[in-house]
Amino acid sequence: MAEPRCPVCGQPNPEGSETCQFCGTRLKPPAAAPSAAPASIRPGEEPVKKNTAEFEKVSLPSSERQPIHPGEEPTKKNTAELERALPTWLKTLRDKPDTPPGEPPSQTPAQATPATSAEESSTPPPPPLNSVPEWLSGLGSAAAEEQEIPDWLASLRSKGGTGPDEPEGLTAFPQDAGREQGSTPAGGPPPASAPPPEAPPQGAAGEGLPDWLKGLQSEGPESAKQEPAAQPDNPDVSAWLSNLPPTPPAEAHPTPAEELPDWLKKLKEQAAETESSQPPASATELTPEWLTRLQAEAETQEDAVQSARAQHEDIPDWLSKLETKAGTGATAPASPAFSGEVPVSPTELNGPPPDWLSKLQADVTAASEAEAKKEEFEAAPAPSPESLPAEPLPAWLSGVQPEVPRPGGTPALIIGNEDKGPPSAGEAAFSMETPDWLSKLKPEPGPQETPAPVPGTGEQQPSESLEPGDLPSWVQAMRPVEAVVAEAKAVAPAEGQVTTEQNGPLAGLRGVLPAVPGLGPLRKPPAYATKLQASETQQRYADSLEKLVYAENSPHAIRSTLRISGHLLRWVIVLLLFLAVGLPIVTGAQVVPPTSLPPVEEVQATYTLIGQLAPSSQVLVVFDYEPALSGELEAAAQNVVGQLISTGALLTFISTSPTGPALADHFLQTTQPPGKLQSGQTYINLGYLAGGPTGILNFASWPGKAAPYAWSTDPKVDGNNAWVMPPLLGVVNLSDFKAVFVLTDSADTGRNWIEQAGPSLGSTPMLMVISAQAEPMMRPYYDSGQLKGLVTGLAGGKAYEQAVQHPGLGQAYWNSFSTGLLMAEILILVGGAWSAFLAWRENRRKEEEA
Amino acid sequence: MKLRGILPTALAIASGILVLAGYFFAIDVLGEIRLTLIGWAVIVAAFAVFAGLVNLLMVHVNKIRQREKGMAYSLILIAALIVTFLIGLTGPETPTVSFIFNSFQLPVETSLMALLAVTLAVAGIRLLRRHLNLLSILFLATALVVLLGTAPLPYLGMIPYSDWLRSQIAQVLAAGGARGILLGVALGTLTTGLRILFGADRPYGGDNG
Amino acid sequence: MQIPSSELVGGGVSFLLTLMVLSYLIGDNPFFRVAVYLFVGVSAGYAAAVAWHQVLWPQLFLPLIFGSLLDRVLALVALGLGILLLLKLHARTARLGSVSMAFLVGVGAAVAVGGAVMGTLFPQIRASINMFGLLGGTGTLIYQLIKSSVILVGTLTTLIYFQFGAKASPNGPQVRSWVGGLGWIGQVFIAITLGVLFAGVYAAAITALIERLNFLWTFVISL
Repeated sequence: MAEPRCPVCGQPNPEGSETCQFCGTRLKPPAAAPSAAPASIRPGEEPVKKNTAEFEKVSLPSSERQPIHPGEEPTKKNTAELERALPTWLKTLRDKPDTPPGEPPSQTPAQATPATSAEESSTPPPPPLNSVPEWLSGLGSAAAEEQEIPDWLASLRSKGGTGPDEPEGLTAFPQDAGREQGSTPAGGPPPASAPPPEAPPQGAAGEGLPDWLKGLQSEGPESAKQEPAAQPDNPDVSAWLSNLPPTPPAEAHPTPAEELPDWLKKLKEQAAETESSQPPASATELTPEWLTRLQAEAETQEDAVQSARAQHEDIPDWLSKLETKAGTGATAPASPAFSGEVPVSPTELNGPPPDWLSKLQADVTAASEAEAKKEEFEAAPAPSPESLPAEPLPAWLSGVQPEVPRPGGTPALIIGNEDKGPPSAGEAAFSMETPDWLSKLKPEPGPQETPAPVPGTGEQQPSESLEPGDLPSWVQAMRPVEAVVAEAKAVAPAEGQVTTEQNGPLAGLRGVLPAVPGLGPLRKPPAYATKLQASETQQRYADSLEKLVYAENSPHAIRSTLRISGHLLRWVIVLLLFLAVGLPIVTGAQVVPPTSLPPVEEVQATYTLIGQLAPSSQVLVVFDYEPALSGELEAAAQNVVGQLISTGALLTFISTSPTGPALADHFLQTTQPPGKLQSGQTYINLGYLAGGPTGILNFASWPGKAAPYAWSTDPKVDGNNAWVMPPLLGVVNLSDFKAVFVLTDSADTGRNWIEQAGPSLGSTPMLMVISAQAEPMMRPYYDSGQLKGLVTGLAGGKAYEQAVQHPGLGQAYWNSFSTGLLMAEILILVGGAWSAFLAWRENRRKEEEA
Repeated sequence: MKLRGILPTALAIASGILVLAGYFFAIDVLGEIRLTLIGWAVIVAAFAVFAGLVNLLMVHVNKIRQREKGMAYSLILIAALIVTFLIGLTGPETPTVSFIFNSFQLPVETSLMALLAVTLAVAGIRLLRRHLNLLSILFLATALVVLLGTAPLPYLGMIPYSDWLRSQIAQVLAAGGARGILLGVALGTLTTGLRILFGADRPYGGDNG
Repeated sequence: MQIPSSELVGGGVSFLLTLMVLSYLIGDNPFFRVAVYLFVGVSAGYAAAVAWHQVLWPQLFLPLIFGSLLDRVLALVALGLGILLLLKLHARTARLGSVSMAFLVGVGAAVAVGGAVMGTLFPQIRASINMFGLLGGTGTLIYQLIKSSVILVGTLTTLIYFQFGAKASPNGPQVRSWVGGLGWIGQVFIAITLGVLFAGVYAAAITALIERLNFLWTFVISL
């Protein structure tokens, strides 16, 4: 594995080394702070408690650390704000032309060491020591206040019990001097108790040290006595550092003015002024009042900063550089100062401080303040141009543009976030590691468009613009919370800008979600058209369908006379029929001659056949009609049965209907004269034959078994064996009967008897007395010879009465029958014709409409 | 075919073949078996009457239990049924049962038939209003001609040749149609019976029933 | 003439029920419904009583109790079949009734087939042929010939009308033209037959009306 090369000087360094031996540049990127985790707080999430010491590294607050997303145009930034994000070596590069001739360059000696040819070819040449890149040109007037306080400076302050806010002249010293006692930041120079990893040569150190630093060295033993820390191995550096008196608090221990250089004295004065927490009335040339104020506020955060520094593993590059200088005489003092055990008081410095140091001091002071107020930086709203101090700003602050608070730019508020989840680690790392100045480079949103969403995080980066003359955001954030809140109340937030939380633990923070249900429209919902987009054809079809549906549901006008006419028709028919039928009955009028019927062939055949029966002939009479047509059948069969009785035939009644036996009795009671028939003697009733055709077949096959018992109202006969009685005596088969008469009203029943009993009859004739409704279907059987006689309905009965010349029910009913039929014929004829006419007219109208 | 569906089918086929064979084969044993089977069928048919009775009771009892509309009529029906059956168990030829039959069943049934005279007249009048075509006109005309030839006109007697016309229509034209209908019914009965005897149709609740 | 009390009561009941039923001519009313429901109940009970008294008791239970062993065995089989038929009333046991139903259907089918063949098919076909015997019939020979022809045509065309066979075609089932024409002639014969049937039904109905009105008048007079 190749040796790691320094990206600045290009010199090879041993493996495992974290800083360059020559220039002090960090070879490995600093470990991601715990806050690399998504620092943004999503709505609904609880803020994660952070150790603000984590933010002590040289980096901008996360609120200003916004990555650039694809598609975004870089936003013009005032690079002066990015000054604090600059590494020390970079700043040194910038200040190179201002360094004294005798003073070694700010770069580490390693950089001066000529690199090998091989290494030079593989590594990029270091930038010229005397040139400042163009992209750093704007940093000349950079806001030194935005730079973080170097660790050594902070450590110096902390040793005196103060925060790292003291604009000491020893800002070149690492802040680690005051950071901890015994703890070693990772990758950083060892504490003062441990020998430094690289001891700069004494000679070089003695030659290159500034006078003030030399003076510090002379006082080192004195200072060292006051520190419990162990002496470093480098007596030259550590001695003076250890002898350095602790840095008194800025507000409590003013150093003798005669011992401090002028510039440092001024700084102290400014620091004293800022301790009063008053806004700076005027800005000095070197330290504006806001800087002193920052110092005062930073002192209150000393403990947190110290603890964060204790956990911090990194030593800034400039700190390592200073170590090297201290070792070579041109770099910063060694470990004691870096370890922070010996805070160096600016008053102990001899000689005027170099320009780079002064600038470093300013940077460190500002950076320390920024770290301590990191959360306040985020919460503090951007001051409006009106709220900015009216005093003239120093030259190096002239380029500072007030940071316009980005609407919803704080991590605590995600406006329009489509991705509600926390950003990925990569996104967090990317956002954390991106320089602040780079993160601010994003396109200005147009007047109508919303900022392009971040593809990784889904965040929408609202536009951000800095108005000239406004305080930077981190400066404004250091203002008291009350001032920020009051300002937020006075200034109505513009459209799209975030509001400042007024109450609660998040007071002062910008872009905090309101703690009320129904958080307001976080994003504008997409507008969907509610109107159905239908083409003209579709609309026409829809209209047609609607008409059809409406026509179905709309009630049709019904002629009110229709229902009345229906009932009226029926009542008229009833009246006419009742009159036609009833008048002859009531009046007894003889409207029809008694012998008006012509002879009927089948009736004559029946009459003839019965006449041919011998006396006491055993005749089977089947009563298979329903009570409903008992009137017709009784009228039709009255004279037939009467003639049978008159001839002396022995009758056997049977029925395949449950009501048949009862009808037979009723027939005899109604049509036949009483006393002529005697049950069990002249007639026998075999009762009910179940099974329909099966029963007929059963009876036809074995009559004695199918109907063994008699049915009679005479208890002497009822239930006894009928086949021993005279009417059935000697009858074994159906063919033993002399004749079979079937009285039925149904063509099916007649057909059943013909089909089932006919084959068993042999020569026994079968005759039927049927209802008029069964005539058409029974006629073929008569035509086929299966029936020997047929009497049909009332007319047949009347005809039979004429044949026997014995009037009966047929005659009684004949007048009514005639008038009734006539009335029915008239009604059907006239009504049918009228109905036909109406139907024809309606059809014609429909055809005309069609 | 499931096992439980084989038994009814086999029973139907076997019993049918045995009965039908008696038509064509004059074998005494076969005749005895045929008569026994027919005798059982008659008894089972009597049970079918009771099955219909019980089903009628169940329908109207449920109607009363569920308080449906017209439950009062169901009460009347059930009461009449039970009373008549219980009295009829003493003998349907008894005077009481005869009284019930002659006083309740016979007049109501006859009256219902009498209503048909009015209903048919109304139907005959409205027939052409709904179906105005040649066959409907022929139907009504035939009915009128037959009625005219059935009875003489009051005070006028029979219309000349009306009876002859009626006889020709009823005994020739209608006879031809009736014979065709009878033959068609017989053919259909033959076909259906053979399908049942072959097991093709199982209307008795077999696999296909 | 005094009418016996029983006849008077019976007559009165008949009179009342007749009026209740005839009131339907005016419109549906509760009297008509009562009369109809009463009739259904009485007829069902009467039929069951007759079935028991005329069939089950003498042909099943009497042999089962007093008959010989063979009679008892045969009666038991019949009883079993009957009970299985009654089980068809309940949904759970309906499947058991299939045996009795199958037996009834099988026997009934055989009876129907035998009767149709022996009682209708052969005789009617024979009759259709014998019509052209032209001997022994009434009327002249031509008359008989025409009559026979008409009956034969009517018979055949009616049978053709009930022939529903059709030839499959892309446009749907297509009946042959001559078959359709003959079927139309058969429809004519059927229409005439149904017309005669309608006339006969009406004649029967009007006879029933006459009988009822006559009874009402007679009863009124007898009072």
